[in-house]
Amino acid sequence: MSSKRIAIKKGNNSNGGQHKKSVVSKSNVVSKSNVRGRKPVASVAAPSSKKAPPPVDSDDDDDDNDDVPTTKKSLLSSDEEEAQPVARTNNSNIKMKAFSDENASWLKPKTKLPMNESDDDISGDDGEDEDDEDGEGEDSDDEEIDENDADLLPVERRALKEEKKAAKIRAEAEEDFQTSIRQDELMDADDDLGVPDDIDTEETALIDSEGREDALEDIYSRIQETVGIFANFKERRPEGVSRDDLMIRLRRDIKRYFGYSDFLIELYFNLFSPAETLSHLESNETSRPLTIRVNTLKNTRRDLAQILMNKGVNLDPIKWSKVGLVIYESQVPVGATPEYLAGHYMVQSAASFLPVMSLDPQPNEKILDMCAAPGGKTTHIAALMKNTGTLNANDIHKGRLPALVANLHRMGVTNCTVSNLDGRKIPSLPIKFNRVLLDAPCMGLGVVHKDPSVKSSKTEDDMRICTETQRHLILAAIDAVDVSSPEPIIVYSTCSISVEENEEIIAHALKHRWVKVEDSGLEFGAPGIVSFRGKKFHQSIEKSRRYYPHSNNIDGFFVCKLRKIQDGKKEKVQTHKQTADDVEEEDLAEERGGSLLLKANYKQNQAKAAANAPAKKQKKRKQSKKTSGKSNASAKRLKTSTS
Amino acid sequence: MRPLTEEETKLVFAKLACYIGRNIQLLIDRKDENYCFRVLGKRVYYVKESIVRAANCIGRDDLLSVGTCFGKFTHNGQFRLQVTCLDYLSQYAKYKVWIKPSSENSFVYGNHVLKAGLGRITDNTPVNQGVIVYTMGDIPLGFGTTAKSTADCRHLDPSAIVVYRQSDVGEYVRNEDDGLFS
Repeated sequence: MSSKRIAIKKGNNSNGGQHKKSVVSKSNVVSKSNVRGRKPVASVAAPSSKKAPPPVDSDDDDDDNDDVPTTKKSLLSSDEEEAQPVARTNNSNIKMKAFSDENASWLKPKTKLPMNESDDDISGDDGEDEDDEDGEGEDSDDEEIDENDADLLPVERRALKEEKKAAKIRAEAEEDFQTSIRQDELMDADDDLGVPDDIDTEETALIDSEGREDALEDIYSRIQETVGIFANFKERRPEGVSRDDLMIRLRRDIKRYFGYSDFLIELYFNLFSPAETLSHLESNETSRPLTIRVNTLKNTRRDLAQILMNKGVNLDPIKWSKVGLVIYESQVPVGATPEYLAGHYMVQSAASFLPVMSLDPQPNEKILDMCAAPGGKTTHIAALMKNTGTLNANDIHKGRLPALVANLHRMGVTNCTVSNLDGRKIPSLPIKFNRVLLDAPCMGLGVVHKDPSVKSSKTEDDMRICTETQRHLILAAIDAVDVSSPEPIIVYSTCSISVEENEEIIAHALKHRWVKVEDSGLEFGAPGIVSFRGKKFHQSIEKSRRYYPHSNNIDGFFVCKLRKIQDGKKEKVQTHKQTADDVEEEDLAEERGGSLLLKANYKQNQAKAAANAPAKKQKKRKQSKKTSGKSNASAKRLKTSTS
Repeated sequence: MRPLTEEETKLVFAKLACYIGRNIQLLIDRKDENYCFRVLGKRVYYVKESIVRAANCIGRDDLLSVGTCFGKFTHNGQFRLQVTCLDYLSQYAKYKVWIKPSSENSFVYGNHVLKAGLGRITDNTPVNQGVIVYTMGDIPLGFGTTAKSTADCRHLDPSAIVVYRQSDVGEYVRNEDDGLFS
């Protein structure tokens, strides 16, 4: 409609050089200046070349047409005879519409704005322009109003327009509300929980979801529902939907809502029940509380807590640790106080206390931290050693070492050497340690909140590379320990929760070295997983500890304490089924020299070893008598496990 | 890793003497254990002999740090003390300066100590004397050189510099990448 008008107007204003906008705009809205005192000017819209003569000075548009028909008629008729477009105003572009038939007497012409381009009215024009641009979209409404209530004030016309707009918005909101109710009803329907009738179950199985654009809230409520169903599948299962379909849809929803890759979702569902998976993933979205560790070399927990509270830090001691404080809120930046810079405390996640507590370093020992950067655990060890003995901090990444050295100096550690070696080469050094901490590089599944890119970037290849490194490192750590120490301890820890990076690595160590799993010394945490997807690990791995953000409110973590019983490698072959073990045996062979000949000989050696089994057992018994009673019992346990 | 040469020893001790004077004796002749100075590259380390023995097993290229780094030799052969030796300096310091809590942050950000921030100062501190800077709670924050003697300090206006900052604890955060430790 409006476009038509514009076209017409253009035609009419050919002799203008008029600004198009003003042409369009001015015809629609009646300017205030034209209401009273000026002669009403007809619109240009009507395709009438005739210009009506200036009508009577009817002051306003509210005049009844009926009142003065005769006079008007006479006037008009008389004027019509003249019937020439009178240049009523300065502008020649003003055209007036008139009715040329017998209705002219009682029909009033539409009064529209004159197209006033004169300089006098520039300010007025601008105001009108603004109004008109707003009102441009309302052309159709405008027309209706004009037709019905031509004698309304422009203010009233605008009010009517606003009302119509509001009514429209209300109608749309009502519609939305209705559709959402319908959706909710669909969701709540008892028979068909969440699987709308229009979606074919086969379609959901085909995992194509691009077509359905669900809002995130809908997806989340659906996830919660499905998890609820799985909690008690027998009773709550919906009819006609198989468990597989429901699971596929749940995984798809979780993938879309949280943003994890398929590989990780698979991993989580293997590890947890659906309800626990959901709570774990939710906990991955938020950070754990900020914690600090007091440096006992320089201060005590009580004193430091007092100092920090005086500075306006809201804190509490960590119950299961003697050196930890949890910070709830702080008025000063916790990582930049003078106390921090003077080395009185270290900002460290609570989970990182655990491996060092398990390691239990004593003064005057030789201790190695194999993957030490940036040095939180190293400084903790030094504090527990009270700066006595020797602490070796090692890290393979040279770029991370400055941070390690800085932290050591800041915290006042004087008994530490820092080296930049590959951990696997450490056993070949002419030095052996009493205890070794291996905080192995991992995929970081327990600290997703620190690095959300883990969700989508980690793949099966990453896992394979990680686990390979971890296997080599743990064997190197075991080899670096001096068996004659009073407590030859190795602690293996990761900030990941997958079984492949944790229990499997311990199992690998148990298989290839003479070590046994010890009680971790940590009071809380879930036990290690001993049977997982058909793989069975040694029962003692139960003594290792797993931590989850959703149950312990600390970062995901795994800690396992091993005690070395004997030097050397295990060459015994496991007599039970050889599955992935075969591959690992070959890895062993490669470790030892890696030639094809060796591999060929290896099978022979296996047979020989099996034959020599009883002889070896005797040897072990003799050796165990030499050492303490403790290892005697453990050696016995080893025998029973391998026989 | 090698011990200090004679010249190097002179340089290091001269620098240390600015701050701890004759107490250098206490650094060398310790009763609990034998400490020594060692040089790794251009850096001077103060370390127990037992640790030196452990570190000898690690190849020169792979060893980065032993014990405490005291400072490094510059390109032209001068010896510069670093903030990392603050613990030892503060133990044996002769002249100390305490600053008010309000100016702790300013000092740690790298500014000099002004008269307005001065809390206490040891008596009879001469000009251009090496001093250790502490908080009112006796936590060492860094070290510097006096601009005025103790007597003159009393008559200064609040914005005058009292101690030129040479090194402060804030460098652990400010200069992490700046070659302080790498």
